[in-house]
Amino acid sequence: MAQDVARRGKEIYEREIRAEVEPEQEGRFLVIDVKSGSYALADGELGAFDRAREETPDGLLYLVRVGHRAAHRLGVSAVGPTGSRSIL
Amino acid sequence: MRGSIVSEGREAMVSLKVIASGSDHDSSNIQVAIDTGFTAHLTLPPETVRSLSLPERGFVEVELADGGMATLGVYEARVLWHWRPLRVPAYETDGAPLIGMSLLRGSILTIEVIPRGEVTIAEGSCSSSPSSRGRPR
Repeated sequence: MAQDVARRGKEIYEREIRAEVEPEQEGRFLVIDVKSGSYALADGELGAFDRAREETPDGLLYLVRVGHRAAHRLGVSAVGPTGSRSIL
Repeated sequence: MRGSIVSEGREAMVSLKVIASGSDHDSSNIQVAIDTGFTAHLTLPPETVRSLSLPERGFVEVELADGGMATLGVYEARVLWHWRPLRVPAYETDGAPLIGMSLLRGSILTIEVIPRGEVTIAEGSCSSSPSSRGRPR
């Protein structure tokens, strides 16, 4: 289910939300209810979840960070001189 | 907050108190590794999430070191941080729990990188809790 929520969340973000929030809200956290398509913004992750939950108590929620490929990184990576990714 | 380098794993470990949902008296002290390559607050294994009945908030995608992506469950945890309870998002992952740079934000981290070297996390002069800040939408 997790992958399905992520896929639907990314689709909704790209299709309906990105143009509204980028670049003005760059770096803030945004939580999408993938059932209704509604979203909430906040500076912190739990703040965004709180606001989304207030609006849609039964929502299925997906977190993104505006302007970033992923909300967070788990492990440092870098692009080397050949353009290939390498782990530092 | 003090910990030490575990020489075999070459990891900087500290003990973190995670408080159960709905009860200030039920908590668990867990050994967590400090990971400066992890930009969020905290990862916890599924068994800790279940035993402390942490409330589920949703899902998130994180970028891994090889450029791949992983979808993780997000839970709400309360941890004792600089002697105060702090509400933080915890990402559910298998393996050893980690604390990342979002939790360390505002703190002074010192690691003596020798076998059994000392690890300290002190409160910085501009310590803040990013997760509890907010501004009107």
